[in-house]
Amino acid sequence: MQRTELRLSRPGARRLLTPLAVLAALCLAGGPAAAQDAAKNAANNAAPGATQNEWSTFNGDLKAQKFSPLTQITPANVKDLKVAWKVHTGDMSDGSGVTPPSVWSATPLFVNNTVYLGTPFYRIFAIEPDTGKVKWTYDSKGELKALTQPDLKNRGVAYWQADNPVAGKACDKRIYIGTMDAKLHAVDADTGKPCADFGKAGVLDINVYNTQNAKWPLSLLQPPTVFKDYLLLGWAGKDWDQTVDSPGTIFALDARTGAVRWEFHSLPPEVIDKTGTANVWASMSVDPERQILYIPVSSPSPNFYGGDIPAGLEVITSVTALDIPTGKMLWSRQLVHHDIWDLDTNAAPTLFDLEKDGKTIPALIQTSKQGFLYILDRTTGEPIYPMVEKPVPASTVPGEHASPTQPFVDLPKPVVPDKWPGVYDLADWASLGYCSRTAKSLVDQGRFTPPSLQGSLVYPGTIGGTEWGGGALDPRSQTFVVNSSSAVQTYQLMTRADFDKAVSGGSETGGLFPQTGGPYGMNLNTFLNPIGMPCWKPPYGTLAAYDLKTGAQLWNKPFGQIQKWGFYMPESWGTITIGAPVITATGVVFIGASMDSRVRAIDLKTGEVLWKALVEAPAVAMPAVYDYKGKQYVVFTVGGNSILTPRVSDEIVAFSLPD
Amino acid sequence: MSSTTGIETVDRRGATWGVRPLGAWIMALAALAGLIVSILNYFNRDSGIAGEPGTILVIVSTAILLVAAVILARARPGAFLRWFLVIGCLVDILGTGFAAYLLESQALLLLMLAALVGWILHVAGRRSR
Repeated sequence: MQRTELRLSRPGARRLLTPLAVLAALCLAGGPAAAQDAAKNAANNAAPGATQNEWSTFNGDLKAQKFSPLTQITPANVKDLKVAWKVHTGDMSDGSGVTPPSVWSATPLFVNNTVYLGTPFYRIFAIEPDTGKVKWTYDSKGELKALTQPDLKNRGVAYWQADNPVAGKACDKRIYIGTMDAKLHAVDADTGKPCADFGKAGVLDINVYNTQNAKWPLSLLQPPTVFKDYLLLGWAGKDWDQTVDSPGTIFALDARTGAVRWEFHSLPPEVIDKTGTANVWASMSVDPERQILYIPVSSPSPNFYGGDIPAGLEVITSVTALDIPTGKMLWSRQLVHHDIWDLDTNAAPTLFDLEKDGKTIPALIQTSKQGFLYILDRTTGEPIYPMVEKPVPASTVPGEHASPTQPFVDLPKPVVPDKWPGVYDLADWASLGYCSRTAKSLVDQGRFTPPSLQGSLVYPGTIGGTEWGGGALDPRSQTFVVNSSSAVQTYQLMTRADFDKAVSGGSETGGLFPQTGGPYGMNLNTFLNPIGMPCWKPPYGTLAAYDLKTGAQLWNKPFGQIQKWGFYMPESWGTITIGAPVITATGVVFIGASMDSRVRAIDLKTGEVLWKALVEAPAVAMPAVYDYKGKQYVVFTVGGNSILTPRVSDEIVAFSLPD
Repeated sequence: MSSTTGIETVDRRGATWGVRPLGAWIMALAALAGLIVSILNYFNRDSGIAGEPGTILVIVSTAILLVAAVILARARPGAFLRWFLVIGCLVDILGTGFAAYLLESQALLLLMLAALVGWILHVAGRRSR
């Protein structure tokens, strides 16, 4: 019934009937109330002009719920998924030549009857959603150099359309892509031709606004967040390199011209000769009704030593709310005080209306590297579930003034425990006691152990907790699903003299970062034994579900498999995860994120794996779910990430049920 | 010297070779098929183990098994070399099978099971002498 209706050939009728068919299916499957909730939710959260069968923004919707109301793929039939189409863009590098390795974290967009993707070589691909045929490509000709990041990275593109787009009128619908060399390109969504009225001939150089402490370009790796006619834009920098860096800014740009409507500065002007960054490099979310932008603010430079950073900087390592029309800060909730662990707030908060104790509270949930799940009133920033200030270890590093307390969250249960898991016997035996010997030599005082000259065992480390994808929410049941990593790292500050000696002495420099301009360099390593095994006990990554109404953890399971030299390790070990899940209305969770180059479907109720498929490399982008001509597709970008494995790919693969 | 009678080979000591070359040939065929599977896995980007050191390892181990099994099937090595090859084949089969399990290469795992059957036939053939 649903398919028959949705196969109507007239696009206008299809666009009208598709949501109605989805609604009808939901009525049959979950009851009228659930259907209405899902449809209303999807309609409210979608980008302007988008319909609920689309995936029109990086997070699927402006509230970053990553929820699809589609119902064709169910827990019962997901095992039948087959590859519908594949595209290879050709844009990948393993780093063996002059081109740096590629990292591809681009969520595909499906909007305007087209799948759009940015590549790590900063090209745009426009693809037919049912066949995979490439409609057009656009080459930004961005520099393929590691100007700020060690890898070429792209997290995709953004879509904007005029309120009433005129068919055939150029640039009434646009696609935007950023580059590592700080150029923002706007092209027509139908043709891929540059929009001449945007910036200069379709290109806006954001680096002209990089006027303070500029040492590298403001890299545009995350696509802008689009709300009405605003492009809301953060940037990425070069971490761990300098003490004083470009100070963090958010730009609100005119979607048509690129003109700056306002700027938000996360650092006050009086401190920018002492520090920098506290930028927003991850995605953002928007409350469309209240016109509020929620930004995840990162830590300040030089990341691991804060002796020169003045106290009282409230916006660093925070989630902060801005009024979109004016750019004024409405509130800011700091998640880590005086951050000297590089615990950037690294994902868009998910916005939802929390049903709790008979009340409906406008809420957000913020994931974090530290593993806490912060649930706040999104109109005030006040915690709904308690955030408790607890004493934490003092720093022994001369000049450092670590915060005496840090905010802790016990409910919902953190995605990683407070204490590191301890030495794994197998890794210890395999390294003739290296792991236990090293652990004993490190400073370990639990959460928020500061970096030290002796070397500190830090858990969760900067690659731990939840990464930039955040979690996904089923707004009807208020079930939140989030992947995480259990990663132990060692942080050792080195005096400038020792650091210079180590570098000039030709030591392995992979773990050495200069923090130039300050008294200390940094030696940061993941706690592995000499043959590359993690020294700590598994699982190394999990996928968990929470009932946000009560804060209860519903299930928590090891996720993915480690793959080393091609060999798969036991499933009970899980893997470090990078990427994020999405949830569909039938209770299917789709996720890549694992080291083992597989994509999976998970049962939302139980956490059991319902389906998995092999792809060419780790799929570290969150997938997109859409409906086209009555068929539901799940599209994964398969690009790899050097944190997980050197394996890279240029593959886009779409799955659907057989006809 | 030995003489061939179609289905049975008798060496100068009068030993019966009917089962032994069959077992060795099964090992050789399984190793050859395993080698082909592993090479395909190495170059097939959809295999999950393309370009991996573990895949190279099983390419090498199946190639060694192939050579050793052919020697056992076709040649008449001395006792020391024969036992070295027999034990070596077992180690190779078990090691390759374990690697195949970890590589999640089911085809290679099945082929190593077949090779193990061949090895058992080969050894049983010796003992039936």
